[in-house]
Amino acid sequence: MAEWDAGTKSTVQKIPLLKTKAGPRDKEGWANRLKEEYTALIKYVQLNKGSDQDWFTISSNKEGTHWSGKCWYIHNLLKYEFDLEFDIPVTYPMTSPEIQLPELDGKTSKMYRGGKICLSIHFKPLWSKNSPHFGVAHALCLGLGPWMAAEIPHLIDTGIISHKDK
Amino acid sequence: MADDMDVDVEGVSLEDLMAQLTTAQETKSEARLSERNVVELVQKLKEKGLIGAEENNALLHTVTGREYLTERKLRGEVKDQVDKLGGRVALAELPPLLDVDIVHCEKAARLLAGEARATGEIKLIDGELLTQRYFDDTGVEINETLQQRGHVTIGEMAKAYDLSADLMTRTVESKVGGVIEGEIRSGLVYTPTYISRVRAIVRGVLRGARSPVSLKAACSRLRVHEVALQALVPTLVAELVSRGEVSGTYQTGSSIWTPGSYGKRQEEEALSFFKANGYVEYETLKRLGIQKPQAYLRERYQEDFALETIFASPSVLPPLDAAVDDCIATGSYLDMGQHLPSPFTTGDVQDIVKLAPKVKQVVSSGAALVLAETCLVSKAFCEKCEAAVRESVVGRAREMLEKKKAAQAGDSKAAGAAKGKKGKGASGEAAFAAEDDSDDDWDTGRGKKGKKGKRGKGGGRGKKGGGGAAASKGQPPQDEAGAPPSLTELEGCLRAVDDELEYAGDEVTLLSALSSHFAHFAHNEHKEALKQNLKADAEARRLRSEALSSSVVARAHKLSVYSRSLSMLLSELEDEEESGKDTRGQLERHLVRAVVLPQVDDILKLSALQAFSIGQDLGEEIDELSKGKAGLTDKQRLTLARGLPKDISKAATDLASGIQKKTLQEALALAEDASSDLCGKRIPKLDKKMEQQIIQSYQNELLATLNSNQTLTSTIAIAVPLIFAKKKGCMLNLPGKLLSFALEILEGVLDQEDFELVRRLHKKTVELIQKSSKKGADDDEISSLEVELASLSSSVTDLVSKLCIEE
Repeated sequence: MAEWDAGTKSTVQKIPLLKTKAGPRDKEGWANRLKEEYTALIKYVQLNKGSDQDWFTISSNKEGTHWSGKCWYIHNLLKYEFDLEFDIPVTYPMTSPEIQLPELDGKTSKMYRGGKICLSIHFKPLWSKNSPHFGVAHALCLGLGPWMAAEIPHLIDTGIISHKDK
Repeated sequence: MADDMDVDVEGVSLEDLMAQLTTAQETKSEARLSERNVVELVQKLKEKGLIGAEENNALLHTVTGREYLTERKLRGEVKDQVDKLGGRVALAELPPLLDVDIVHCEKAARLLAGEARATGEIKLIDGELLTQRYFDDTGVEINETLQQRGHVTIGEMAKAYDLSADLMTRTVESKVGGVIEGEIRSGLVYTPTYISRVRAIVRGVLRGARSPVSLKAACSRLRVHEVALQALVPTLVAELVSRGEVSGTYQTGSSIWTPGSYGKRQEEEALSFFKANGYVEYETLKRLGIQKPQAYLRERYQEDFALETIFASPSVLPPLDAAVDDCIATGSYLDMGQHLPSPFTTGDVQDIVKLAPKVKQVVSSGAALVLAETCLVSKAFCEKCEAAVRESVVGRAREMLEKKKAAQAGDSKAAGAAKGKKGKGASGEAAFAAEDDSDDDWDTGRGKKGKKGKRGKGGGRGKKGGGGAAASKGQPPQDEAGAPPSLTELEGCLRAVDDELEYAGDEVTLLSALSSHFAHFAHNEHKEALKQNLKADAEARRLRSEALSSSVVARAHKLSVYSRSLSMLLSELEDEEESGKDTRGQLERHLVRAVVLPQVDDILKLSALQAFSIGQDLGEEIDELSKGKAGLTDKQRLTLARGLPKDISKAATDLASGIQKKTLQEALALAEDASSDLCGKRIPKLDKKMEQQIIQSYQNELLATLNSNQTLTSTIAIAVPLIFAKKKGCMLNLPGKLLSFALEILEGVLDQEDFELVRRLHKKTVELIQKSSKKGADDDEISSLEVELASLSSSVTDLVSKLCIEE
């Protein structure tokens, strides 16, 4: 986990690991898995709030297959907020979810079509290694968080995105 | 990953979890700011004036730098702290307690005290904060101490509570009667019980005393507090005395109690001494405890004398009165101290002498006077002394003048010698004139005042010269020689009167008192004596001057008679040949030498005297020359002429040096001019009557001389002019060798017999003179000639006398 900064690492270590190995197709197991996902997310949100590092909101549909919410990044005392959404893949939890930031679709090379962020290099091997213990909370913490920290300042500086008030 | 990190979802519904997530996301996130941010934030707020801008509510920080706090908060904390510490805290103690710098603590304390000034709730005194509660507590504690000990002093309390005496006094005063049950006086707080105890002690001491007692000593023995002694005891004693519980007097300053009984006894002792001896010393009474003995005795004996150190009754006076009487009777003096009791000091004697009726009486009657404060000197003795002083002073003045004259004569001689050395003739004269000139200049240059001073000085220097003028103007001569006699000299003189005088009197001896007494008298006498001397001088000069002036006139007249007689006589010989002319020359020269020169001398002398009498000082030499009665030598005449005042000196010098070379007529004219020019003496014209009178007096004079004449050889020299005067009415002044010439003229005038007699006398006289002047003359021959001459002389005298009486 040498690719992530110390803060991220210490945070991810405090997020509870999940036990149930079940995808949306497994009726019984998925309900349990979903509960675990929520529990982990609650813990993660609490951790963030506690350390004044809250940076997203999220919720899922009733089945827990589609997740949406908002994430934000503060750069030069300005808060940049983006919509966030993704679907739970069928092969979940063996496959990691593909997180999308539709507003940024086509604005950066570090992104797949449809606004899916590019996480393949470091994140995917880690996910595979820790599957099925990693869940949505881990994906946000280790995937989306570092991606935004790396990409958004660049996008702002190059003028590709601008603050909504400007 | 640890197992305990695993999710446990048993018994929890999905809905609950979703709701929990929502709740967790809605919860406000905790703000996490770094210290630096906070510091910056606070800085920003201060800059914006959002915090710390209110007056007296600035934002402070603790000494650790970890906390911010406002002044208002600090004041609250300080107040809490003071209350917590019992109402008193030193400002220096606050910083460690509050972690705030002392400066802020002090300011907070000041503000707190200022806010509470009206209520007095909290005070800032000497770097300490004190609340009212603290003072209340202190009052209670003081009261406890007071009740235990009966008394406390403010000083002790101030020390115990480490408060200023002033503050402690105010605190205690405000509490006395309230929290503190007692009274405060002179810095002492005490209970009524304590007062009763002290009163009992004092009463005991006072009642027990039989002689003067120091309450201070007694009370300290009985452990009465010293402050109480000062504050309470005087009041207590006064109370006790007024209530009649004790009897006596108390002196507050010295704390001495004198019991009534003691005072009475002492009084009796002191008064009995006074009654027995007629006097008592104040010191004795003081030793007996009477503090103001003079006033004390004065109250009891109004009539008696309160002296310096002694109180005396008139009974001490009789011995003194007797001595005074005796002194006046014997005309002596006495030291009155010796006739009074021995304890009398000089001051006492001085006092009583002023009060004693007898002394007053004799002094006022003038029978005696008091000198040297304590000595009585009778009038007779005074007179004796006065006479002695007068004698001594007059003698001394005379002596001084003489000495001075001698000194001046010495000076002038020296000056004369110096002048002589300078050279004679024109240069010497010039020098002399110049000296005189400068003197004159100085005299007039100093104006009126200078002139006056100079005159006075001149008078002093030349006593016999200008002194008369100075004295007549009322200016006493005042120089070193004219100094009045000193006190020492007077003392010496008085010591000669009575050598015991210096042992009478005390600090001032009678001797010095007497000399001071006579100082003024001696001074006056001295002045008088000087004046008298000077007057005598002036008088002598005046007389001489008058004599000279009349002699100048008389001689002038005589001169004119001589001159006329001579021309008359010579006119008879006019037909004579050469020898007649020669004779005429000889006669005239003789007349000039014998009569005109003395006239010139007198004129010069008179001029000098006149100069002296108007105050000009011509020097001692001139003075001497002008005084001389004898004729002057040529040298003296010239000196005198030169010494005359500048304006006439030239003319006088010409006259003196040239007169002998002139003919008789010229010389006469010169002499007459000189008498008017030099000494202002006009010669009145000679009339017949006056001429007759002159010739008559000349005859009488010659006749008197002839009759009283003892010298045989001069009979002829007197007889011939007398016969001329008688027979021809002329006055002759002949040299001896021209007698024969005069004699020849007489032939025919006298009877032949008488003429022969006269001629024989002349012959014999010439013969005798020639013989006796020769060396180896025959004594027998001379004596026989003398015998013959004697008979001839008497015959001629008789003849001439007869001639004179005939008419």
